[in-house]
This record gives sequence, C-alpha cells and structure tokens, in this order.
Amino acid sequence: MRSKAIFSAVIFFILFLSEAPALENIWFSATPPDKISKKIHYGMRGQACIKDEDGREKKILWIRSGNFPVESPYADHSSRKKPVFFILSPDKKLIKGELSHGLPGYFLTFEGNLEGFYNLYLIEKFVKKEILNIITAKAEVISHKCSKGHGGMKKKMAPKILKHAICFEILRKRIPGEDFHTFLSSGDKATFKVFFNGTPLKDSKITFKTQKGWSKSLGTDINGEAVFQIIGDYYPDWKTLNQKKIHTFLITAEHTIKKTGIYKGIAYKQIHYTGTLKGCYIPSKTLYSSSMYGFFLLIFIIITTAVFIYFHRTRRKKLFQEYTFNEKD
Amino acid sequence: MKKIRTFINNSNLSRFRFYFQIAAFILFIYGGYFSITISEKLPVFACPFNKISGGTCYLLPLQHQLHITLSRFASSRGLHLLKGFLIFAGLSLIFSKGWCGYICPLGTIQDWITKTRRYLHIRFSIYDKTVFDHLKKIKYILLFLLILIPIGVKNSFVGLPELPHDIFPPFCKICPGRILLPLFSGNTSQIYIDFSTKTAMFITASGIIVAGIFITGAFVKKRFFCLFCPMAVLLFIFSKVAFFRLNKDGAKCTRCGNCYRVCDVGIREIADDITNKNMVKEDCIMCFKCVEACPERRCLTVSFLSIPLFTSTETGFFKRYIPEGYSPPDNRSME
Repeated sequence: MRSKAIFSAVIFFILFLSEAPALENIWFSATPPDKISKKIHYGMRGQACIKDEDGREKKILWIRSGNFPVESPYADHSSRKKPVFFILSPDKKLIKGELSHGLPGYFLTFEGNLEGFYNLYLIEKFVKKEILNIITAKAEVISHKCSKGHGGMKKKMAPKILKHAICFEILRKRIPGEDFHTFLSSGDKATFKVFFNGTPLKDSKITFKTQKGWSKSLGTDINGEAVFQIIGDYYPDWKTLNQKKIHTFLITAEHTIKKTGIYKGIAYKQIHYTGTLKGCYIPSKTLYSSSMYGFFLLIFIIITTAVFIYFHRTRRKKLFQEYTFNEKD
Repeated sequence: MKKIRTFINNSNLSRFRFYFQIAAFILFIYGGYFSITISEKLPVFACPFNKISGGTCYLLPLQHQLHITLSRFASSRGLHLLKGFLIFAGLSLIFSKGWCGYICPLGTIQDWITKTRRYLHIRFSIYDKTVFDHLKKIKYILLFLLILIPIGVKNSFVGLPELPHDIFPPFCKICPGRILLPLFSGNTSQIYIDFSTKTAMFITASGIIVAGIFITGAFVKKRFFCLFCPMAVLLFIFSKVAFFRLNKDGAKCTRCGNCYRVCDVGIREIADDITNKNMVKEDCIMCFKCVEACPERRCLTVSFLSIPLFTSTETGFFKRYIPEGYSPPDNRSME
C-alpha cells in the first residue's frame, strides 16, 4: 500500500517536472503528400516544382504542423485560419505567390525565375493561455539554372532577412565555399543566427532537429549565433545506401517577452515568438568514399608505371658493340 | 615598326611563354579569390571542381547540357546547348590552339613536369609513327563517349536500360584535371574512391588511375595527355578558320627537321609537309617552338588576322640556339 503511494507520488512528480506539451510549430516542407506527387518533379536540392495550367513552372512547398520532420502532419486548413505569407526574391523584393489548400492542407506556390535564394515566410498568430503566440515559418528556396551562368554567385547566395515585416527570424549562414551546387551534408557545421526586430538576439533557445528526430538545443551567443554539427543519422544497409538521399532538418528558435495587449479581442500578458527554418542535407561523402584508398591507389599507379617504364627502357637499351671489318676479307 | 618586328622575331618566345603560362595558371587556378570568372565555356582545363577557379572548362557544361532527354533537345535546353557551343566556338576562333600551349593549366603542369625531368637528366620518350597514329585516335573515342554517355544516362536506346547516373559526368570523372588542379588550391577532396556502387567505384578508381598515369606519362613524354585530349579535337574543328594561325611557306623549307625535333607533341607534318600552308594539326598546341627552331627566313609564320606576329629568321635562330660568341662558319648575311 505504501509502495503504491510512493510509486504514484514519483509518477506525479515526474509528470509535474516534465514540460507541458510543446506548442505545435508550423514549418515548410518540400516533400509532397503522396496523392498529388505524380504531378511533381524535383529541381535543385530536391526542391519540388509543379507546372500550372499555362505550363509555367512554379516552386511548391507544403505547410506542416509539428515539431519533428518525419512525424509532422500536413497543416490542416479546416481548423486554422489562412496564415499570412511573404516571399522575398533574391533581389530583395516582395513577390506574389499563391497559398492554396488541397488534400491535405496548405501549399504555397510561386514563380522563382531569378537566380539565388528566395525566402518564404508564413506567419500564424493566436492567443492561448494569455500568451500571444507568433509563429514564423521560414524556408530558403534556391533557384538556379546552370545555363544562366554562375557569375556574382556570392551576392546571389547571401542570406537575407525581412527586417520590416518579420520580427523574429532565423538565418542560416553559408558554409565556406558554398555555391549553388553545394549541399549541406552530415558532418558539416551549420551556423544559425537569430534576429529579433532586425538585430541579433542573445540567449535565445535554438533547437536543431534531424529527419529521424535527433535534437539538440543551444542558446545563442552574443552575436545571436549558434553552431550545430549536422549529425549522420542515416546508416542503411550497404545495398540500399542512397548517397543522394535528401534529409530534412528543422531549426526552431524561441523567445518570450513580457508585454500586455489585446489581439483580436483577447487579452494577453506575454508574447511568445517561435521561428522555424527548414533545411536539407545529404549523407556525408565519408560514409561511402575513401580518400585514403584513393591516395594509395594514386601512389601505387605512379610507382608501378614508373617502374614499368624504367624496366622497359632498360630492356630496350642496346649495349655498345664495335664491329671491325678487316679490309683484306 | 621594323625594329619592333625584328626584336620580336629575335626574341626568346619560349621564355615569354613560360611566364605567360604562370600568369594564366594563377588566373585560372586562383582567379576565384579575386572574383574573376573569365567564362564558363573555356577551351582549357580550368576545372570547376577547383572551387576558386577563374573560369570553367567547356567540357563540363557540354556534358551537363547533353544530359537531357531526347525530346528536350528541341526545347530551350537545345538552345542553351547551341548557345554554349557558339561561345566556345567564338573563344576557339580567337586563340585557336594557343589555348593549349599558352593558357591550359593542365598543359602548364605537364610542361613543369617536363622541366623537372630535364633537370634530372632523364631522357624523354618518342613514339614511332605507328604508335603515334594509334594513340591519336584515343581522343576521338573519348570525345565520342563524352557526348554519348550523358545522353545515354538520360535516354534508353534500342530497349537497353539507361546508363547508371554514377558515371556522370563521364569525362570529368576520369579527367586528371579534376584530381590534380584542386590540389593547387589545397583541395584534396577529389582524391577519393566512391564505394557506394560498383559503377561509382569503377569510375572513381579509373579517374585516380588516369591521374597517376598522367603524372608518370608527363614525366617521360612531353605533353603526354595532350595526345588524348578531347578538347584538342574540338579546337581543331575551328583551327582552319581561326584568327590565330601558323603558316608555312613550303618553298623556303629545307626539311632540316629542326621543327619536328623540338615539337613537344611530335608532329611530323611540320617538317615533311611542304604543300599545305596551314600547319595547325590536331595535336598542335601552338607553342611555336617550331618557329623558334626554324633557321629559314619567313618559312614559318605566326599570324593573327593575317597580321604576322612572329616569324622564323636566321638571326633569331642563331640568337636562341647558338651560344654567345659563336659566329657562323661563313659570312652569310643573317637577315
């Protein structure tokens, strides 16, 4: 009887200590739901594209709600209001897009013909338990055609923020030497920067979640930055290894401020900002390739061919022979 | 003007070429540091796998643009292919094979390896004509495969399955430039064997083997890889109408054979052919060592848009090849 009471108390204590169920975030996903996937084709970095009725190619992203890339369902359009969205083109202009809902959930389509990164934002606001929740989903979508050339890549690749419309935003800093064709891969160190009202935010909680649900949380430093090493969580059988398999990672950052106000007739005492950023990565090359074998093979070939040439030349060397002719003969 | 022309004709072009090659090498290997991108359709091995390259070799975009389904050749992709080829043609028309002799970083590396061999007093190899003629064909085979494989990766022919994607881009996978040129910027990432599939393993190992053979080959044979270079074939297409030319006046040729002896790639026609005016052959790298070594006045002439730039002269020959203080055996006028 006593042990039962202790057990119940322990369970109660654990439940008390455990966090309240996390707020469901919204985030962009390039993975289509199966039902319409036949119309989809994939461009750079696994970006889904679709052709509209006029034959124009558009980029398409779905909105999902949840905290982990794999498990998150597609955001249900019937239970939520249509969110606000912005699309920032590589030349830093706001462009038009179309937020539609189908089966299931929302999807955002836009024409992306300029070279570089398009920033997509989707904002959801609601009051819950006297807290105004502002969730900003962000995605960076690359648009590049090799036929358009690779000039001015650094400028086109530069990350950007939408300072005037988005108050809480995550930015991924480019890795050294990153170009249009660079894929982040497991093992790479990715740096994320959190901005609040356009300035870097210190001590913001930022969480990195991989495709399979591994997660790590850090606080941002004085520059608003946090560095995560993308872990390799893809270890398939050798026969089923897909070196080009694209995994999604999800970055979430949070920040709370004390501010009272009224939103749509509901009073709140705090504002809780959540930002999400979708990214993708592929398995590291070190998983299936070896530089050491390559190096040894190179040395082996150089030595073998050199030895072969040496013996070939030695074999063909003719010793000096002097022939004398007797004129009397 | 005459003085300038005499100065040029008597100058040591090989020395000028040596420094020009260094400048071109720096430009095409480290140009990215200075945000320089000359072109993405260059007729030289400016390897894009070297992340700080100052340009891009045309063979990668060519393979990339051929990597489409047959139906898309009639679309904008076909136009891009044509546009790319026209840019390449334009660049080829300007310098013709001069790209090989003066600008190509892979050619420069071979010349440096040759210089090392010379300092070590190791003799170089010469192919006999039969071997030479056989080896020459390899570059045509490589060019044919370079065009066919990317199409075969995207299309199935006569019911056969598509070729595995692991071999794409086929020529880059076996090009020694991909492995060696990034090394000059401290990038060793291209020396690897991919074990993910058998095809990937085969093709990456082949690339390493070719790079190994390239190093040893260039050590014993001048401009070893140029004999197998598919770019040489593409450049040769335009050499007959190019602005940069090497002409021979057969009537002035004494067939002494100097030009053949100094030729890095061993073109026999330069000495034997006295009927044709155009001396730019498929293997010619337009280094103009032949012009330097020719003692006959105006027998060999380098011209740009029919303006003679450098011509063979007896004085120039003696200045370059005969030690100072030596005087010719008779009192002939040198020019």
